[in-house]
Amino acid sequence: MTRYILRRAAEMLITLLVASFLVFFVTEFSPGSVARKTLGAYAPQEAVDLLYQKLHLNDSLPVRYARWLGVLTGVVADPLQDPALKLDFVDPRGDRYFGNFGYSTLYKAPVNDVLWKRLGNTAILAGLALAVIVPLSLVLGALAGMNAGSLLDRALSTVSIVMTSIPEFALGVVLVAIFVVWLHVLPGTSPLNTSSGWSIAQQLVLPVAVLAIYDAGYVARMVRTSMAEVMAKPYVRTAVLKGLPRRQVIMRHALRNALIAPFTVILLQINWLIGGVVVTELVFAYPGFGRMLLDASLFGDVSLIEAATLIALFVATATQLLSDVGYRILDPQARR
Amino acid sequence: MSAVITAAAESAGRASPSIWRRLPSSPVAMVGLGILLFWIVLAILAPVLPMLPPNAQDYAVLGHPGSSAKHWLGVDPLGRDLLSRIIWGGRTVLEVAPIAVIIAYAIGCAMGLLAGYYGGWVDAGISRASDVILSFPVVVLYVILIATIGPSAVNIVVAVVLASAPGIARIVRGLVMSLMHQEFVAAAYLRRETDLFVMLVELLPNCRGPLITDFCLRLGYTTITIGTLGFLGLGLPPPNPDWGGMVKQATSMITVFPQMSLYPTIALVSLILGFNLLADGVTELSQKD
Repeated sequence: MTRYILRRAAEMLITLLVASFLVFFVTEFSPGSVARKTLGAYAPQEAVDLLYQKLHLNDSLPVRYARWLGVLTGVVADPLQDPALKLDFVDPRGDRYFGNFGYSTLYKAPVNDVLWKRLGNTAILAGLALAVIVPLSLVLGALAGMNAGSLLDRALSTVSIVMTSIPEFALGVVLVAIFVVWLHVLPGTSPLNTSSGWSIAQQLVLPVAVLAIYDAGYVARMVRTSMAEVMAKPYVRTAVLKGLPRRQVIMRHALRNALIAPFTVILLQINWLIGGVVVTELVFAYPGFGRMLLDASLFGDVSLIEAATLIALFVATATQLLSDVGYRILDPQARR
Repeated sequence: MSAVITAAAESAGRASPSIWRRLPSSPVAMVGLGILLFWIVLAILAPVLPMLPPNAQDYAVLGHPGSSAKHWLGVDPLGRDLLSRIIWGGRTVLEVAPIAVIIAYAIGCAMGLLAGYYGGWVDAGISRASDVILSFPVVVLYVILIATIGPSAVNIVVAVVLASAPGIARIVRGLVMSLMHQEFVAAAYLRRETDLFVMLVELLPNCRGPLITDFCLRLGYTTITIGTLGFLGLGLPPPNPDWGGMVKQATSMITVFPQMSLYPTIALVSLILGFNLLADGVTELSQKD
């Protein structure tokens, strides 16, 4: 198992490298825009051309990618912080250190100053959402799948299908219309400061509700399908026929097997949540990681896009690894 | 030998249409199908329906943009007829979503079959490539791609195919790997069938249960994607009607005229619900086999 985990960790590192190159390839395919975006739309063309030269943006894509990787690992000094450029970009950590994501051209600040605070805000949002999603969907899904076709199953299935059919932004709009416009009980924006008169807790209710309602419906459906499939398996029928009480059949035979597939699904939800927060944070003006990524992409802030994507990918691949290792522990057949 | 092949092909071919024939016995699936047909009929009839043009602005009603005899659902913040824009917007979604999902399926199934069947370095190559794409949170991938290559219907299809094919490949790969231990595959090997035969005749038809459901769900999810991209400002370029973009545009007036955001939201949710209900009904029917 240790060998398996080490191998997977190495694969994870390669995935991160390949993905970061892909993002670099897509976003920095036309290097001229980097100099223009750094200086702003009103800078004279000569200044842009000069920066273009000094940053060696005419180098080929792999060379520029290697230089970006050098800055990240602390081998190469961040070219944007060179005092000769007179950009006034200063990172208090210095221009050469491990984990240097460079300088954000959108926020005019070191990426490390912008990124982590935003990520913390999003972690709060996603953590609260997961704390609602997991227990809710497991209980609802298992109950529905246990009694496939019953009134309870029908009701729960219908509710969860409707929940899954409402995109985050649509749910956000509907909830804002009800709780903000009509009832006036919750704030429509969540800037995470109390200047608007609403407490932080009140500001978190709607964003968490949007994320949880959408994903809980999906996970509950997965748990329900898996449970219903297991309940129809011959070994469950055997357990029933040999006279085992229903409670025992479910606890000892059905539930354990039925939870293998949803286990993976729940861990993969973390990946979905990162996507969900982009939309949710836009709806509620939440100062988080997702909205930062959207702004960075629309602006073309390559350093910030790269940093944010790497973090998102790290979280996603780490949970993937966790889910695969867990799957091998839970399902002996998968080990072969 | 040929008799075996015919029998295998028949049994594979026979079970599939029976699900569609038994569809009327599932009320859930019929409701879903009904909603879908409603939108499909409206989409087809859009050019001949006696409606106002979707991009024509009526400044006279901007003071009272609610429902009226002329504008049944009222107008949007720019004075354009909401009913007409919703119907034309539905037409766009119903063109883009199925095209994107079908292309994604063709590519994803081929990738998954090859990876699951051959294993080894073929599997490693396809799976690693898929992993890289699947590691991206989907919305992040769409945002980076569309923000760079520009918003258009073709680029949305490209982005959806790129983001969905690896997921389909992973499902097919998993199904194929679980089927490889089955006796009918061993029997095919004993008959010395070709790899292509085993993949297309023995394995692929046996994956169809989960795939039919996934196809319907993916249509729903692609509809969500198109709406979300529109809401993020990365959908179809204006002024053409796009449900997500309509919601986004109307949110600025949500405190005064919430119906402007709510009508396109209801349209979008109903279409997604249609796909999801159909998927649910089909799953239920296939489990009764």
